[in-house]
Amino acid sequence: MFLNLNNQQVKVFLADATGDMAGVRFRLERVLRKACVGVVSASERATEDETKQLMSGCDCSVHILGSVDIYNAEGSGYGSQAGMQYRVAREFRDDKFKMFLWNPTGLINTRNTYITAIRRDIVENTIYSQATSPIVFVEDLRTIMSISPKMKSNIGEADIFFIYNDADRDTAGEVLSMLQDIQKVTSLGINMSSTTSYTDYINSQLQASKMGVIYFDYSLDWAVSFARQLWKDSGGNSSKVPLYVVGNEAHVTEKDLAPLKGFMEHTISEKTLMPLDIKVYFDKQMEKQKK
Amino acid sequence: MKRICPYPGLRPFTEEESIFFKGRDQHIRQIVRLLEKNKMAFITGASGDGKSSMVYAGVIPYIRAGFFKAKYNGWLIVDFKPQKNPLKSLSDAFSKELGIDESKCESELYNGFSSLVDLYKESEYCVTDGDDISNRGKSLLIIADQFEEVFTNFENFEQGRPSDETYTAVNLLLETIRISINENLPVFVIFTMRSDFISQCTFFKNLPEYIAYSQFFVPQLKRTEIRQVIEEPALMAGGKIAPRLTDVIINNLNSGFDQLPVLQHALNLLWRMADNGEDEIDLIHLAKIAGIASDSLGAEERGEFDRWFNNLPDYQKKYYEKPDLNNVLNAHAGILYESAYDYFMQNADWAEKSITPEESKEIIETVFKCLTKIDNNRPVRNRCTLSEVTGIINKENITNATVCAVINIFRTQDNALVRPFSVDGDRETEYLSGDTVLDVTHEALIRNWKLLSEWDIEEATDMKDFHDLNTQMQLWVKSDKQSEYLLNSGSYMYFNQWFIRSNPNPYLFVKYDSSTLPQRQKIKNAQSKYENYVDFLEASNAAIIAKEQAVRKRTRLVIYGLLAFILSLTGLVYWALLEKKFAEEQGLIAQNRSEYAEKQQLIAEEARRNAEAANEIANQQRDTAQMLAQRAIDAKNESDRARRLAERLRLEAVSQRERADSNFQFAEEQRMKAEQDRNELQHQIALTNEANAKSEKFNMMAMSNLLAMKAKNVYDDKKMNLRLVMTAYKMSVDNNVDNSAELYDAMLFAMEQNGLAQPLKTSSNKIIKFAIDDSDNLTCITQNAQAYVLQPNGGKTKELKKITQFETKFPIQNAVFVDPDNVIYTTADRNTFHLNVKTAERAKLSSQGDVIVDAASTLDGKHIVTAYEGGRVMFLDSKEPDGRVVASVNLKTKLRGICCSPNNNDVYILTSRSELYKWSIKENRQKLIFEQKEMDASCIVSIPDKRQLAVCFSNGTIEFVDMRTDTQADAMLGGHSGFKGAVYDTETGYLMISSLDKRITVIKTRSLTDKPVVIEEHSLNRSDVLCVGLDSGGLIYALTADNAIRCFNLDIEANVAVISKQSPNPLKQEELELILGRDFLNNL
Repeated sequence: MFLNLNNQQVKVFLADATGDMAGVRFRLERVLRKACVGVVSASERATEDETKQLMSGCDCSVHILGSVDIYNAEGSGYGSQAGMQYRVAREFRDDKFKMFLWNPTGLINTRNTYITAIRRDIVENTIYSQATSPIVFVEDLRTIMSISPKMKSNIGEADIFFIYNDADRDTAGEVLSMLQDIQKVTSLGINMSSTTSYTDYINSQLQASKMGVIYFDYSLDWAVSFARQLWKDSGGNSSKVPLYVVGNEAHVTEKDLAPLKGFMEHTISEKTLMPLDIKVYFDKQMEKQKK
Repeated sequence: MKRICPYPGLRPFTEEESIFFKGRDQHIRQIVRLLEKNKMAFITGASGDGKSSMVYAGVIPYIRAGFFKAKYNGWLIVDFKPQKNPLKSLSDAFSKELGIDESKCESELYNGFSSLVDLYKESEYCVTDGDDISNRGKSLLIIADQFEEVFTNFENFEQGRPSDETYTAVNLLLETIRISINENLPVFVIFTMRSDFISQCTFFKNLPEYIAYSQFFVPQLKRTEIRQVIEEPALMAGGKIAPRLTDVIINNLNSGFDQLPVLQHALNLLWRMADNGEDEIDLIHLAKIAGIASDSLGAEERGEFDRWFNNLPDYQKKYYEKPDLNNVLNAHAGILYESAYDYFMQNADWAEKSITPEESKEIIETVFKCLTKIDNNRPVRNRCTLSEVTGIINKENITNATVCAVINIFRTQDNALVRPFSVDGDRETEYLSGDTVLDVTHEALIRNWKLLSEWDIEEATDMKDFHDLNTQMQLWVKSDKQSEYLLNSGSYMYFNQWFIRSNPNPYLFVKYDSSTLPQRQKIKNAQSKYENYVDFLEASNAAIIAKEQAVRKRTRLVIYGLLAFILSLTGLVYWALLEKKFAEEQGLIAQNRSEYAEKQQLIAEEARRNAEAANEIANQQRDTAQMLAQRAIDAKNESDRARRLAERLRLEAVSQRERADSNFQFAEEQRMKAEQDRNELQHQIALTNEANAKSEKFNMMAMSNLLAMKAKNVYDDKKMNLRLVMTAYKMSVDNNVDNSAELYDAMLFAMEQNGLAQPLKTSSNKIIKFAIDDSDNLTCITQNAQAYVLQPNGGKTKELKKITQFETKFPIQNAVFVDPDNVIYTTADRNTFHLNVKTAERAKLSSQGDVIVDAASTLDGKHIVTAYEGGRVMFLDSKEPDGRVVASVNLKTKLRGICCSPNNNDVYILTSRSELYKWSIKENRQKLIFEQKEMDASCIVSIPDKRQLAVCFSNGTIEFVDMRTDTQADAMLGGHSGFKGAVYDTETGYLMISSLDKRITVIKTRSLTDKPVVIEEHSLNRSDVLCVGLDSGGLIYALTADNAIRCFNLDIEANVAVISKQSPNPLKQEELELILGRDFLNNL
């Protein structure tokens, strides 16, 4: 879907604001509601425990940064409700709870230097925005918080996810057969003229496997491009699932795999030795991960 | 090993780098779907939004990886840029990819329409039969990248219309799409074009329809996608970017124009600044590339930055004055510009090093001026060959190699600001041939490098001058070079200066040649034109000089004529010589003036031109000012609108707040009211409960009292009194009712009736007073001056024991005990004595014939105070009461009593006129505390533990006076008749008062609200009470006028214990009904 029409409602904890930002907060609350975003606010005298309880029911929190300090660089909040709620949210944030910091003036000057300190403290799941329009800010918030439902495929856990081009199915079958004797393997033969969309399935199955193997015999062009694309989609060096490109020496030379050099592990060997090569590389990787 | 930099900088991502191309995954799939469905995709978008990258690093790898569903597995990718001849560019790319002969391909494609499809069909890649078709065949993807070059290169247009080649190229592409759709061929076409050229597509028939059929407008990246663009490539390459840096970049990034090139360029520099991704990329690295102010850093990082910054050369420091993300590119290019000479000298051994640093800068300036131009007021790229640039520089010592070596710093892989890029140390890529086309990597460089912008403006001005000169020159040429069309001196000076400054040459004229002629022809024409310019200027100059020479010649002739005339008139008189001399002087002056006038004319001309130029500038400035003014007005209107909106919102907010306040106030009031009502209700309930309880209690009390009253009747069966009393007592105890005075009185009566309260036996002599000592013995003094002691032992012993007897002729009239051992008495002969009853020592006091009324001892025991009936009060030494009068006073009125102040220095005196005086011994002065004319005072008693004194009046009133302030502390009604005497017991706080109605009232001074206990007259044998006392066991002793001492136990329990020994049966119900009445009981 090109346009994001996902209507899953996001629930926001709209933190208390300091006096100078009261009007901005009022406007923001209205904009959030118009944007179909659920808004939760704490009462003026809400305690820390009550605030935590309210936050636990939300997906994120929004804190408006004005010219009155609500937090200091040493890590403690000030006595105001806004400060307390900022501190609580800071402890609360994780992958499931994001923290939005909004500086609606778009400026940092002598009156709000504490924002510089706050920005230096920004870590994962914290989003700072200096969009001057609440509309822009809420648009960003909604985009960041939108969760697209994933298609469920028939995914199963495996040691090795073995992928090959359907054009190489004969030799791939032989290698696969031998490999399945020594490891738990899930395989996929890609048929280029098929109407099946493989993208989501491949990415999901790869995540459920300990290692990915791209096998090719005649399909060199495809294999190089495919391996690169898969490496990219699975997060490259930061991926937890290693990829291994194996080519049948009958039709491939080392030079053919030059585009993979430097970032992807690959080998060329005789097909009967290939399962062993894969097994050795697999064991090495598992050993490495243990360390 | 050096990590691969995942950010390409200003150049687009290549297919090789596609693995690092992030943020557009969704858009790539969208384009692929368009291709699958429509066989074409026309990708448009703003400059710098990554159209080319999306195709080369997104779409192509995606389809090569097998995610594009086409007939064949393999792919032929034919990509080209239209440049100055779209047909040739297309043909070259096509022939190369399909392996077709270049000339054959060009001649085929020249026919347009199906030519391209036919060539494909004829190729080995379009397989229609046999085995394994999908593996043998290859699908065809044609990419027309930067399609706007069709419009930006004027070579592609002739007389305002697309040239034949251009039109044919477009026709080929559109027909290929049409045929592919009709025949479902695996042939696909992608266009990429800047969206601001979309209106110009109407030059080509059908092109707008195709655009509308399958257009993809590149969306602006959302915040989450920009985050992917920043963070994910680094992660994939093994590096890391601090989240706070990502955040700063996202927030500082301008939206729209040049967003992505500026971002990618900055990321490229950041990666290199962070030791090629070895360090976590953070704010300090952004500061080091002039992208953020150092004061945004923490203290430690700032220190590190300052140390680093201080080591920079001065010429670099100026680029850090206004740090900002959009300044990064400016700073980078500027620093390269400044350091190009050093780089040149250290590298490129193959180039001759015979230029100066200034010449190096001139070369760079010329190169970039050549590579950019202003098109419709927009700065755009302008590709040039190296030879063209060198030609324009036009200096003998500057060759192609020199130019190439100087600009190499901009071409290195790391900097990559000018194409083609070079590889460090690789001579093949470093050294360029003269026909190599140079190009700026991205137009974002033109817009963001300030120096280059300035050069472009300068270039635009030069171009205008050139056109003006060209116009003048063309007129001159067309008129067969007539002198009338030459420049006047002012114009000549202006254009000549431009000529010297610009140092034009045929190559520069070629740059400005907008004709579609071939390059060679253009150069030839330019050569001819250059010669014409030179001739034109020289001819103009010659004409101006000739004109000046003619003027000078005429001047000389005049002078010669004058000389001849003078010679012929040598015989004239002396004055004529003088006139001649004068005339010569005038002539010289005239000449000077003439020259001066000419100079003035030139200056004026220059001034006029300057004025015109200034006028032009002024006009431009005026236009700019008008534009700014308009913007200001717009901004003001916008501001007004925003202000009005804000005001409206504010008022609305105020109104809502007021309403909310009001509602809150109302709610608060209601809540308070409800709270009050609830409290009131609870109070009422409590009162009701209390009242009920009280009522119950009163009922019980009433019954108990009634029984007690009945117990005071005389019955035949005396035990009936005891039974009634005990029943009343039990009832009061069972119902937690306070024992009433009535019950106590009834108890005394019943005990009396049953012989349980007999008076103590007394002497036959009349006892006047008694006092109780610490051992609870009673010391009595009789009228005949005998002292007895009674050791009652709790009322058990009833005999008196005489302890002292002393001689006296006259009976004692009145006696007052100062303490149990000392008594002061007055005999009938009006003599007053002090007697110690234990030692029998007696001393006569100086009473002056008056009767003692009262006496008291000070608290410290050092003094005795005596009061006499006639009004005298004496303050005596207790050791020598008979000898030494410390002080005395005579109030000359009848006294009722005295008491000593706890400070031992003051004495309170109560008179029969109800006056209370305070007599200060030290000052010997009396002060009237109060005077109660309405009531008669009867006695006074000290309550030392409360620092009070009690004054008793004849109407039963008791007033308590605070001795510290001498003001009234309290008051109460203690009885119904006047009092006779009062005694206070400091241990219990009981004030016992005997009254005229023959009663004893016991008041608990420590709880004045408690009802006093009254010993009624029947318990006192209806006799006057002469003296009262209380022992330590709570027994009251009373001396009555019948010369009996009676004892009463104030403790009701003790009395009950006495009665209980008589075992009285409690009253039965029928007896109760009989005594109290059935109705009464039922009503309770």
